[in-house]
Amino acid sequence: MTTFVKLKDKMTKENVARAIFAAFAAFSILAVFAIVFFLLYKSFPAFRQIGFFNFLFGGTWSPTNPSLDVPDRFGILPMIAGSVVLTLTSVSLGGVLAIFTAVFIVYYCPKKIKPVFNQLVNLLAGIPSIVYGYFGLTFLMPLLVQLFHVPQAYGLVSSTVILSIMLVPTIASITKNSLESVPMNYYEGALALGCTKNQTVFKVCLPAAKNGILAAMILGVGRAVGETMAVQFLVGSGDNYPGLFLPFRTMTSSIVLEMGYADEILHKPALIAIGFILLLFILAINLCLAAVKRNNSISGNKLFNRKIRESENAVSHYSWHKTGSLQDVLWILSCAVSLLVALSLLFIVFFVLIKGVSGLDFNFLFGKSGNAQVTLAPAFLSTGMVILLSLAISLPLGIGAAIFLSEYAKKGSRFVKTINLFIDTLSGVPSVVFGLFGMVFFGNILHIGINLLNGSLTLSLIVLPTIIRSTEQSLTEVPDSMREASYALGASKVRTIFKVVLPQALSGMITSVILSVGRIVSESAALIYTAGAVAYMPQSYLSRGATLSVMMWFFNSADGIENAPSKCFATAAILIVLVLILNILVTVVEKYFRKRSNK
Amino acid sequence: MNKTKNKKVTAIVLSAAMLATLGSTALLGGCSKTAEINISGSSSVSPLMLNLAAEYEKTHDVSIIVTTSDSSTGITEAKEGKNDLGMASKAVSDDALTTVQIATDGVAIIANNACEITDVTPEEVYELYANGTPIQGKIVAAVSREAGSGTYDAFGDLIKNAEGKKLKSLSAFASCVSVQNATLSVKTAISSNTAANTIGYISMGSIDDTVKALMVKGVAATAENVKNGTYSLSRPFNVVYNTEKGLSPEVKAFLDFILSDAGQKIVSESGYVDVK
Repeated sequence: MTTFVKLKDKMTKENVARAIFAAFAAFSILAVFAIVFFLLYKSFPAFRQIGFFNFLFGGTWSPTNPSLDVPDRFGILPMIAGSVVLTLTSVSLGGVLAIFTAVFIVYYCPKKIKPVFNQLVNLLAGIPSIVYGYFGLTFLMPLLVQLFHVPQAYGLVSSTVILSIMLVPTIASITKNSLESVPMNYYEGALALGCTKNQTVFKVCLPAAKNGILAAMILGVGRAVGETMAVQFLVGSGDNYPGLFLPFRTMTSSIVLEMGYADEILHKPALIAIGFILLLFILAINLCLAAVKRNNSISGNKLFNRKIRESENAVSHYSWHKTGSLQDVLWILSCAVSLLVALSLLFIVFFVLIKGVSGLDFNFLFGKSGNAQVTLAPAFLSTGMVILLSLAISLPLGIGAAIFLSEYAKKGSRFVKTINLFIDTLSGVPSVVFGLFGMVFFGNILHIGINLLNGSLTLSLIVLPTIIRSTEQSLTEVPDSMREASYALGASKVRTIFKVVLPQALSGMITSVILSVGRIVSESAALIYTAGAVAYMPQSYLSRGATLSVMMWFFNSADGIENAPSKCFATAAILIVLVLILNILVTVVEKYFRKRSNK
Repeated sequence: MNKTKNKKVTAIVLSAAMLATLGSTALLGGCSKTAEINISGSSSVSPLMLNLAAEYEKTHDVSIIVTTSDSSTGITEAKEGKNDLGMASKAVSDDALTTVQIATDGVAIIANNACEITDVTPEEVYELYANGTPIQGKIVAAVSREAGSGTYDAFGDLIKNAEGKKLKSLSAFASCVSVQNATLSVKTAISSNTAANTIGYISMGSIDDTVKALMVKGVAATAENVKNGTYSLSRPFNVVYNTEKGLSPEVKAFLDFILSDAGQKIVSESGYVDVK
């Protein structure tokens, strides 16, 4: 389609539009550089006074200790060890769960249950991490204490279990995608050679998708290293190196734990420095991911590269030869694991709902919130305000960037590759790092302070990659013939984009809005120190305000609130209901548009 | 076909514009007419301050905004004139500031209700937090607040070993110590500890029936014992303000209320020690 533009290349209006879209696309590069630069800038005092190596390899973290010299107080080696070990254990466990689940969904799931199962996995991804953490704290840890007769259950066991469940949707969905893009002739060929279905799946299809699975695992590593709120509830934050039932720290948990009381002199810069080190980890992981993605193609005969389609998947009648081989054990395992994943999700949802419903009443939801009582009314307003403003910022940016990537950019050019790398990097940055950036850059350097405006700005960065990717996806699905028809009728490129292409891509944009709303609703780590955690009604975007997820944190950490645990559960229940509604909305929207385009 | 699309796009643009106006009205409108009192600082003092504020707001047309952070933030903001009153859960010595003590708080050592042990000594507590030495063979784990919190500071200052070494000067706690960043989390950790073998510490005003307070050297953690000096683990609750800036009439009226009989009654009802 680019050839058509060249006819009217000199038109300045077109060039201006092109430049604007390119700038929107390049915004992600700017954002990543700004995050790296300002975190480094603000942690510089810490590095200078503590010394980079003392900081990185010191074994003692005792920030306010008067009896130690400054360089000896701030050592984060135990935290790095904590993050690394917890990541390894939970990615291993979560990876196994996720791969078996993905195999089950793609190859074994009965056709009728399949949409339900996909929906369940999406729901698992949508539950706010603070709800997972609270579930672990109130259900899993007391259970572990009784099972293992340990004094307390903080430590590797509880945090690994919860974190690996949280990783399942991330790893499973990418594994699923790459299994589905294994060419159908691999599957058929193996069956034709006399393999059973189980042998085919586990010895042919799964190895063929290994690159995608590797990418999924690396993405899981990124998620695990950056996970904050759930981990913060479960690790116990003691002064230990990680152990099964020993309270230990991770980098993320320390930041959230201590930021509230940290002094400006050295403690806060040191915490920001932890964020910077965390960011370095994430950048390294993202580079690995990019490298893996680059050779992600499945080699094979291009002529027969048919993908698995729903209809072709019902070929299970070939395969009911019980051979008692390892693959059959794996088949049983994959069914069992997916059942386990589904059941634990249902259990978490019902546990929280049942515990939460009893705490819900009209006054708690909509009563006046102030010094005498704390209600959720301000949280509803704050959540709405934050959603509005962050979408108002990120939607134009994201759609503009997507337009550039799909309509203007030359596919495979270096500029596009760079932009894509940075968009992926931005989407991999943990929310706690966004929180630090918002606090430092918007709050401190731009003098916005801690308020809803700051929170919305921070969140708009967080949801930007989602909006770009989802819009770009649906833009590329618009057939070229529509563009060509529009050009043939004499429409300019800009006009074609706005009048023909964008309306066709409406479903993708709506989906991206819903996904972003979900992300915003469940976000807490990025908001606590940018938008604040107070229970007052926000007067404007310049007041502090807590969204629903932050209110859960607030109830759990503020002193002197009556019935705080039941209020925590009630808020968690509302969050889960919201996530459910959003998930259903995505499905409904997709169905509606699919029906319309089929007409 | 194309017309309906156009309509849809227009509708989206319109609704976006509406949302934007809605947002900007929220940004601009919202200047409340009642006088505001901004109080910020120690999270240990804030539960008491919230009770006082709630009572005061019933009879006076002011809105009191209590922002919780820590003592040092409260003090810094008072110095810079960013708040009307700063809250500090420790002694304040600063020439530019006027300090008013509004209450005294005891730091209570708490255990699960099912715990058999009722009485501990500061030395035993020190050994548990420092070296993991079990207390009377029963208590083997402990919960602490995070570095920087006022309660952590007070506890670290007050708990000493036999040689008088402060807990605060340790470089690391024993492996049995976990850290929580809120009073409620400490209480939850203790009350959900069905083995009843863990202790923690919280402000005396935050004790409720989910946990029990242990005696220290035979003295119960009660307001009377703090007042007569027999319970050793205590600290002042102060409010500070910039001497030069002084107090506005509204803030002065609120401070007078806190120190009045009615205000001090709320202090003792909230579980703290009045300063009469």
